[in-house]
Amino acid sequence: MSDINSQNSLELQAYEAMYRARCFDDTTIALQRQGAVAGYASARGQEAAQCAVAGSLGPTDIIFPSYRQPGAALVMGVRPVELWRFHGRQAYCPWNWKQRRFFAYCIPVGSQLSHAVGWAVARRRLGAEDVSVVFFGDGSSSQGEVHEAMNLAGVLNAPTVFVCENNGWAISMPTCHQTAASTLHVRAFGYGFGGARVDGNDPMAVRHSTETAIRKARAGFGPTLIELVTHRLGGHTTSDNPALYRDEIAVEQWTARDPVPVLRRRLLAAGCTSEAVGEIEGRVDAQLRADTEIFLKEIHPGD
Amino acid sequence: MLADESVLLLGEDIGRLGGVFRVTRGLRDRFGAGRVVDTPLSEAGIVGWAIGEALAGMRPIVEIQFDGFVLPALNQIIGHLAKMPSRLGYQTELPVVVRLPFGGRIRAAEFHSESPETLFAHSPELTVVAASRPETAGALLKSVVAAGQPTIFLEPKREYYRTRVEHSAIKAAVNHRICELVREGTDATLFAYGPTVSLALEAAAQLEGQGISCLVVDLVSIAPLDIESIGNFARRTGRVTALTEGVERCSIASEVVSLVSRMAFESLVAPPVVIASPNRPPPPPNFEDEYFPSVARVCEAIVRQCHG
Repeated sequence: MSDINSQNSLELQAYEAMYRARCFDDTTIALQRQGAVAGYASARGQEAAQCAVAGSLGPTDIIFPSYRQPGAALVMGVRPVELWRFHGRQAYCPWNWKQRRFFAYCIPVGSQLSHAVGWAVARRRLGAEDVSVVFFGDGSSSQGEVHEAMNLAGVLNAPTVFVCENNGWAISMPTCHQTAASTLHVRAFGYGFGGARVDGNDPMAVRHSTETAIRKARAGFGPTLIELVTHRLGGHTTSDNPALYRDEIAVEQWTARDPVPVLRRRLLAAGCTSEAVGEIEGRVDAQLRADTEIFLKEIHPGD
Repeated sequence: MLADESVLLLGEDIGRLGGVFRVTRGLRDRFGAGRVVDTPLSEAGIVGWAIGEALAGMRPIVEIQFDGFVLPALNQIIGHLAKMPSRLGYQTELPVVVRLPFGGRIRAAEFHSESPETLFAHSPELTVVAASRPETAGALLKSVVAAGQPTIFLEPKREYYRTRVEHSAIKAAVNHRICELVREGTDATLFAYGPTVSLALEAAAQLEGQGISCLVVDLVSIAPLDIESIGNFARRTGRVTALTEGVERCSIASEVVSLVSRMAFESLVAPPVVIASPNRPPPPPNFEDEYFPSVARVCEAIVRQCHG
């Protein structure tokens, strides 16, 4: 038997969330290829970033997503069926956002940041200690509304954590063509607050930086911009063909750093038994299979 | 603001300055800088901020300083405010009111004499309401805020310059969902809103002298239009003219005429008329008299409509 210390236990929790996010991703792509959902923006490769951020929230904090945060959604308690109803184009917000503390997906990229700021400012004014965490991408960071929201957050000292998932791509645009800025996190200083650039594929590093930023916001010290450096291993959406614009050999370098198998190897190396890991995987697989059946019955009631 | 602590004001220069038109003068002293918030120069950000406030339970009233400067906020207004109620399955209240001075004939700079109301009217499910005069504007705004729907509240800036308002004429309560009959008449129906209401009344007074009796209706609710009242007032005379300061193409006036033609065709005794600005941007102030609708143009059109 191996000792499971607290770091291990956090990593096991992280692995369960990340493995669930990966299975959901694979399942959803399969559902799309079968015509069960219309389209899907995969977050393959971004599981550590999203799950660790979501896992850092307090019980009254909230996430304002963009549209590529299935890992975060699942951690917040959004059910796979509810996400599939979105991707199946049945409803724009099939989940109870207030209950899940996970707002509706936002299609006009970057326009969700000011919502997160306004929400947090309102809650602070009402005497609450809630923090809003808002996701956006490297592509979105070029939008003017992102600048406006961050400027407002700075001057209002808003309890908002800005999480930029820099996954290297905005459809076919690599980040180096998106901006001449050396990093995205440096922009925070332009708004009067601090920024951090973090290995987005290291769940513990992401968790640490997010918890620090949330704690800081909750204590009244205002916003933080966290740039999570990760990679979009899949296409922009299931309608995309990345082979047309990127060199898949280069992507292989990032595949070698795929956070899900990397964490799995790390857990085993740290002394977790393969039975323990297998138990997690089996449970998650079974849950997702059950969810898939529910969803398929929903859309094919006659079968 | 007295009645409901969750009402707060956001806008540029609304606090210390009291607003460039002094509409919010004194409110900061009375309610504090926390409820009458001077914002940075950031229309899109401000409207998005207001949406966030509303999601957290507040009832924000946003002031956009001038009609022409609402354009940067359209992504938030049309992309989010209009769509969020349905996007969220009508389970979430979004009590955001955006106040907007609009209209021209005040010899203002470019972007200060616009009529963007069509953009909002064409974005369901925004409510769009146009005040026409100080006597009813306050009660109208109260009605709108109480309704708690995403609303664009248009204020004809020409009316800010009125120097005399009879205290007894100030209405205590107005329903923002329905037309207001502002002048009885029998020969011709004039539908107006915002700055064209006073224009229509001036024209009606002149036409009385020429033996033409005009019924003047303040539309009040631009979106949704009070279809029932519009139909009834159209049928009363069979001669319909719709006025707007906006350009003619796709204007609210065109929409009213379209509605009347479809609903009350049999009652019409003459082709309906649209009085609007020509299809080009507002010109420099020296040329605005030729551009915006005038009393003379309205009278000429009504006379032609009545006498064939």
